[in-house]
This record gives sequence, structure tokens and C-alpha cells, in this order.
Amino acid sequence: MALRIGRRFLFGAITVFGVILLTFVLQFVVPGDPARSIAGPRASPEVLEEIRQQLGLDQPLLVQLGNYLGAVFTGNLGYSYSFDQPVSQVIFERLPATVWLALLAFAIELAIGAVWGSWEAMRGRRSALLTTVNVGLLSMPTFALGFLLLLLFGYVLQWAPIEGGTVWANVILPALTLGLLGAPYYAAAVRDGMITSLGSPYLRTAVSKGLTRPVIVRRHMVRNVTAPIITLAGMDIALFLSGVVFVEQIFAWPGLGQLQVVAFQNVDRPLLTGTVIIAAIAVVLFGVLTDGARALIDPRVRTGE
Amino acid sequence: MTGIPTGPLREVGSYAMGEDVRVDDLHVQFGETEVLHGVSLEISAGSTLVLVGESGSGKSTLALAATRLLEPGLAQTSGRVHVGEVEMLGLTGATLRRARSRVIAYLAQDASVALNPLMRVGPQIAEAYRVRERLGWRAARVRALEGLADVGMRDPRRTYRQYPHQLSGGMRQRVMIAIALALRPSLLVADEPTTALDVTVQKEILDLVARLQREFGLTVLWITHDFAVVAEIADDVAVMRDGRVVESGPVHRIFDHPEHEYTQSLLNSFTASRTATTKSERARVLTGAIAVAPASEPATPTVLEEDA
Repeated sequence: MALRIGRRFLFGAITVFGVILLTFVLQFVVPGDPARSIAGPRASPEVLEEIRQQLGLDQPLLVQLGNYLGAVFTGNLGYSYSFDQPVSQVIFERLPATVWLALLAFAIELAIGAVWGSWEAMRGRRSALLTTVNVGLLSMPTFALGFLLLLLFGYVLQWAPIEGGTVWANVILPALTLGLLGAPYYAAAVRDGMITSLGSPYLRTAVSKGLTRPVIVRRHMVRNVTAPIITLAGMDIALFLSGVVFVEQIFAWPGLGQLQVVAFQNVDRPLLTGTVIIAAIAVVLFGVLTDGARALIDPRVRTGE
Repeated sequence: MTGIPTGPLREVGSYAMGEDVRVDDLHVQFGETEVLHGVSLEISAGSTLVLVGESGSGKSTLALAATRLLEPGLAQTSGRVHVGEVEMLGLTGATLRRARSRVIAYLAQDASVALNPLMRVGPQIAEAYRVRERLGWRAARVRALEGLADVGMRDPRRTYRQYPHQLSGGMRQRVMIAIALALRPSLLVADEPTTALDVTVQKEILDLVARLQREFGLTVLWITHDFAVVAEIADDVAVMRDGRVVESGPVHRIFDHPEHEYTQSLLNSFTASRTATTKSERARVLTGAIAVAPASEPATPTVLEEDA
């Protein structure tokens, strides 16, 4: 078990290293001259040359790579031109906002999906209304639902603030948007899991023992339904943590997604690579966590080496 | 014969001896399709009735109907199933739950899927004592360990901690037997529990059930398509085809003087397959044995009845 987790971490670390290498290469693919984007269009050749020297851009490529890797591994992600701050500082100021949004959105989609899915499974047949809602949500673009919610709760009902901000009330609508869009997937997973479980011979055994309904649900259904949901949850949270561009932009929620937009607009290379590296770490970390959680729940995963 | 552990705990459970079992005019219908057309059977206390028939004849439906494991929304059941004084089909709610595995126990076909894969084996036995006898985990565990010893586990403590996938097919079926007999039922309904096992293990399981039957005075309804099993354990035999019992009687009578031609053809293919020596003979026997199977029964999800 420990060996398995250790191996997963090792592979994860290799993946992150690969992404870091890629970000280095990408800096040369991105169009434009970094020195020019710092100094502005009217800077003289001498100034540009000086900036290149400061950034180490006049060094041989391998030396640049060495410097870059050394810097990244000591936590120095470079200096953001657009914020005039170290990239790591910019990112860590924004990180809490993204974490809050990710957790709340996940809680909402899980809660809605669990109630919805188990209701449909217990009922035995699909409801026309919920099927319509399901198709609606699945085909709805993020920004469309975002604006709809903003219009309804912000403007018409005035329950939530319209203008962006950093207090807890500001996170509700973005989290609701993400949660609603994610809920159908959880509902489907819960419903399928429960239907499979209800139709399974082990559940028949449980009933034949004379167990009461709450005991059967608690001991024989919950865990068996949880396993597939964990995989879904791991991927989802990782995705949310790597920055939700549309939603953060619509609701002016200052997380990593907005940061990515700013970095793109200003061709702020260090900031861009910084957010990419953070995203890679989030994905890898939650991959390992998902794996561990599944192994905890399902003994066949543990011995399935 | 290994002695069963005796002690004060042994006496706590109801020590019901086998009861006379009577199935009267049992009909089961899935929607428009009637699968059982009025089946009647009698089993005297402590004896074994083997119900034979090809797949699709309604044997499994009968087992599920008698043990009240059919989904009421999908299946309409009528008739009577008496186990001693208890009529199973009329029970509801808490009374039904109490009757499950205390009056009738069900032994499923394939133990590899009938155990919860995510749960250790021991608690799957112990939970019956927890819920039905309101024992604490410690006492329930002691009873479960006794149950594992009863079904011939050499190291019950070790088995208790194992997961189903860590056990062999035979061991899993032994665990299933421990679960089925945990509350000392009067009647055990076994739905082809040895089909998935290889022949030597099958023999072990048959011997085990026979031993436990003697020790606990259990009445057994054993369902199979295999006449070898009939020869091994049956006191009486009932032959089923297309949802009807076509012939029934003591085992020696059925073997020596089968009256119904379907019974004869089943017996012939069995004895022929026993004596067939060449490949071509076996092939001829096999083709002869393949009957046209009626449309398969609908899958039946499990019932979770409301708590009273």
C-alpha cells in the first residue's frame, strides 16, 4: 500500500517535471519579445539589450534551462511584469479564492447530484422534468448559465451581489454555476451506482439476512456507490483548482482563472508558466489522492497490483 | 464429523428444528408473462427435496418467490408457502424481516457475486446477529467465528478478516452457507449453489450441507439441473418444466420408474453422459440434452421494503 502510494507520487513528480520542461519550451513558442513586452513598444535597442541581459536571455539555451529549473525548484517562479510582483506572490494571493470556489462548487454538485441520483434510482424510473433539466444543464455553456444566474439572483431578485468582490457572498453565484453544471454527472454516477447495487446478488444476500433498510443502505450501498464518485470528484476538484476562467471572469472572482486571462492578455510569460505549473501540481496531487481514496474503499484495488 | 462448539452462546439463538414445508398453487407472473403456473410441493421436516429442471423452467423464480426476494413491482405472486405454522407470502414489514433467514434462508447460485466485495467476510456474517439478535459487535463476532468453524474453516479468525476476493470459490460458498444458517432457519432454499464450482469442491459442499442438515435438523429445498446432485443428496425429487412440476416422488422411484417422458429424457441424458466414453457419443448425448429454453426471466432487482 505504502509502496503503491510512493510509486504514484514518484510518477506524479515526473509528470510535474515534464510540465515544467514544457513550460520552458513554450516560452520560446509564445510570439513576441519578452524584453519588448516589459519595456514597451518605444524602448530603444540599448534598453531592450539591458533587459535581455537582466533576464538572462542572452545566455546559451542550456544555461537558461538550468537557471530556470533551479529557480522553479527553489520556489522562484519569476517576476510578473503585469503585476510588478514575484509570480509566486501573485499566485498565492489568488490561491485561497480559487480553493474556496473549488470546494464550494464541488460541495454543491455533489449534494445536488447525490439527492437527484438516489431519488431517481429509488423511484425506479426517470422523471420527465429532471430529464429535461439534465439535458438543459448538459448542453448549457458555462457563460450562459453564469449570466442567467447573475440576471436572476443578482438583478431581478437581488439576493446576491452583482459587482465582484472578495467577501463570501461573492462566491455563491460562481460556485452555484459550476455546481449546477457538474451536478448531472454526479446524479448519473449516483443513479447508476445505486441501480447496479440494487440489482446485485450481494444486496439480495443482505435482504435475505433480514437486515433493516437503513442498515442495508448504510453498510451495503453507500460505500459501493462511493467508489466511482471518488474518481469523478478527484478530476473535478483538480480542474477547478487549475483555474476556472469563464466563471471567474463573469463574476469577477479573483482566482487563478482571472490571473490566466491577465497573463494571456499581457503576454506575461512568467505568470503564465506559473499558473500552468500550479495547475499541473493540482492535477497530479488529486490523481494520487483519488487513487489512495479508492484503495481505501475497495480492497480489490489494493491487492490489484 | 467435527463437533460444533457448544456453550452458552449456542443456546441464545432460536434452535428451530426443521419444519414441514408445503407450497400450494404458487403462481408468479412478470407483467403479462406467467412464469410459474401453480406449483405445489411438500417437503417433510428434516428431509431434502431436490427440484430439477433445465434453465428457464422457473426453478430460480420459485426459490426467490418462496424466500420473498422477488420485487413486488415486477412480479405478482399468489399461492401459499407454509413453513411449519408460518405462511411466507402473507408476511410484511418487520415480521417478514424476522422470518428472513430465521424461517427460510436463501443460498445463492454464485458466491463470487453474492458477497459484498468491499466488506470483510466476517462482518457480513456477524451483521445478521447484530440486527436480528441485537448483539454487540464482540458477541456477534464470536457467533460468526463459530459459524465459520461450523462450515469447516480451519482458521476462522483469519477468514473473518479476509475479503471475498481473497477466498477460493469453495471457501466463498462455505461463507455463504454460514450466512444462510446464521440464524438457524427451518428451511434452506439452495439455488444451484454448486454450479459455479468444480466437481471435487462441489462434493465437499454437498457433504457439508448434508452434515449441517443432520446437526441442525434442517429442511432443504435444493435446486439444480444436475442429476448427479440428485443422486447425491435427494430424499425426494420434483421435476420442473415450463413453470410446472411434471413429476415428483421419492428419489429411488424417480430413478427406477420415471413416469413422465420429460423425466425419462433428463435421466437418459444423465446416465448416457455418465457412460459415454467416446467423443462422438458424448457429442450425441449433449445435442440430445439441449432443450429449447423458453424466454429468460426478467432480471429482478432486490426489494427494500419500508420499515414498519
